Amino acid sequence: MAIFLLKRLAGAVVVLFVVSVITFGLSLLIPGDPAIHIAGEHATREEIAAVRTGLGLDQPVAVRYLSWAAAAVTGDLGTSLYNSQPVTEILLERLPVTLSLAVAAMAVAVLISLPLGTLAALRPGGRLDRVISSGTALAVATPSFWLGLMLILALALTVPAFPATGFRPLTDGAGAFAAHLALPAVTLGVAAAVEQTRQLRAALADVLDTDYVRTARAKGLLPLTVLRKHAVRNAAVPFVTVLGLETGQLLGGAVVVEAVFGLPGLGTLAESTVTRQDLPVLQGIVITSTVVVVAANLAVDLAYRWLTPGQETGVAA
Amino acid sequence: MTAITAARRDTLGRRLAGRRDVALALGVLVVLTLVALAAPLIAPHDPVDQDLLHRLEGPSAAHWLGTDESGRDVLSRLLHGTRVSLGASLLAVSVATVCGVPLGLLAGYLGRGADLVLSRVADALLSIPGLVLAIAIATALGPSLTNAMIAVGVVYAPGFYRVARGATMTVRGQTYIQAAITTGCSTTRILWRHVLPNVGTPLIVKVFLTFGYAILAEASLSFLGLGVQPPLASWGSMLKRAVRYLEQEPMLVVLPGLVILVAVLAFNTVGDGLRDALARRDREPS
Repeated sequence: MAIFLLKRLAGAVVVLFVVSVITFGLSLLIPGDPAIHIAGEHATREEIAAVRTGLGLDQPVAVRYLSWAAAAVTGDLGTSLYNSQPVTEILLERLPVTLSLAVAAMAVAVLISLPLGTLAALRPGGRLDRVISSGTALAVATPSFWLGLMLILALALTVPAFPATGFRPLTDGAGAFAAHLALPAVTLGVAAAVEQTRQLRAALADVLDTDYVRTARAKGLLPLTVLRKHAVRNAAVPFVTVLGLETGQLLGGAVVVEAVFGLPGLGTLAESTVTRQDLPVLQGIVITSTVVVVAANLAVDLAYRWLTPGQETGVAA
Repeated sequence: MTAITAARRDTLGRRLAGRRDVALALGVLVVLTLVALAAPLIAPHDPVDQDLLHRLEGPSAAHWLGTDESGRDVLSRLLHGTRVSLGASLLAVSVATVCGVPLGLLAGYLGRGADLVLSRVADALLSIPGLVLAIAIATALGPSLTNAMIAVGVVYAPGFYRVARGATMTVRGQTYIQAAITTGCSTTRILWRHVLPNVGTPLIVKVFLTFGYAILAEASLSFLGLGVQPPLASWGSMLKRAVRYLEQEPMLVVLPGLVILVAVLAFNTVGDGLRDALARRDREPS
């Protein structure tokens, strides 16, 4: 177990190292001289040179990367070009909102996919299976922000059941927190539910077609008992894998969903950096969201070990 | 050999034709392509022509789908938006193919060090949330539709890399590749002439499925203000502008969303149908 954990951790470190190189590389993509950009259009040659030395831009790229990465490892991601606030501070303000949204969306997705995936697997090719598979095809083609707007139109403007926009922290009371998070979570959760439903259906249908399930049925066990005792644990492996893989998709999707519902999370932060070209903040968002994804995949690997104790290999990180 | 190939193609064609949903989706794609090509000819109005006396009007004889907040004809903007949205998605898919496929072929064929390094980079790119990476690249390059779609292409490239690499690894050990090596073919020639044609089918499926996702990505980025710049319209940017009038004129939001939905559904249906047909063909060769 310890060796398995170490191997996985080493894999995660390699991924984060490559991501850090890519993220740092973003600053090299910006057209023009960043020193001129920061010093302003009317700066003198001396002022620009001072900015360049101050930022270490006169150093070789490798040296700049190393000092950037060394600072990043200690939690120092630089300061915002827009308001000089430390990037880490800005991210820590925003992260709870995005994580609340992602966790709530994941819960919605599981609540949708568990019953639908199971129902579809009971009779593969049957009418219910076909209806559910058409529904998932429709859901995967729906732009999430459009679904969000339709939900606002139906459940906030036409029937004012939920607030259309905004966020309340949990400290303001669970009711307000849940009401403000409900529509965004459904918007984001529907997209995530699609892949979960498909995987669960496929895995469960395979398991239900095995000899041991047939034997269990032949013994006269109730269908629900067969599902619970024999099928669910074996079908859980691909399902849990999808949950991990979806973390990235959820964090990416959160950007647009937050923009639609005006949630003050990492997504709206990313949106605001676009017009300001605030690269340090954007780099911080890339790193932070990737760390969350890598952590989720590590958790999935551990869950996978727990679900299949006998196996040596885990799922790919 | 030729007879077998012909028979296989025949079954594939028949199986695809037997799927009514796939046939319908293909029809939708043909119509969308024609609309994209002929938009200036068939649009009843100039898509950027403003008419401030007729703002936010419902459907009428002059404007079949009504007018937007600047009095522009919604139908004409949707038709021209087809060209912008499909063109942008084509650019993203092309970037993803051109970046991902050659590297995947190389990694799958050479193995060892090249595979190790390239696969780690692909893993890293795949672990960054796609839209976040696209926003970061597009912001660094500067906001424009072209930059946004190059960014989306980079985000999807690892997917193409993985498909090409996996397919190459399965054909690498086969006799005809060994024969090509023995006759002294260069690596480039082997990859181009012998490997690529045999890994083409999974890549075609990938192209269709990615096209659908690229349309959604274009819409998302335009919605965030990173895509097409006004007065040009794409389906996503039409949605962005219409949000402010959601309560006043909901059809302005409903219509572009429905068009996006139909287009993505069509690409996904064709991709899925193709994949199912190929999977069945491979399971039971005729």
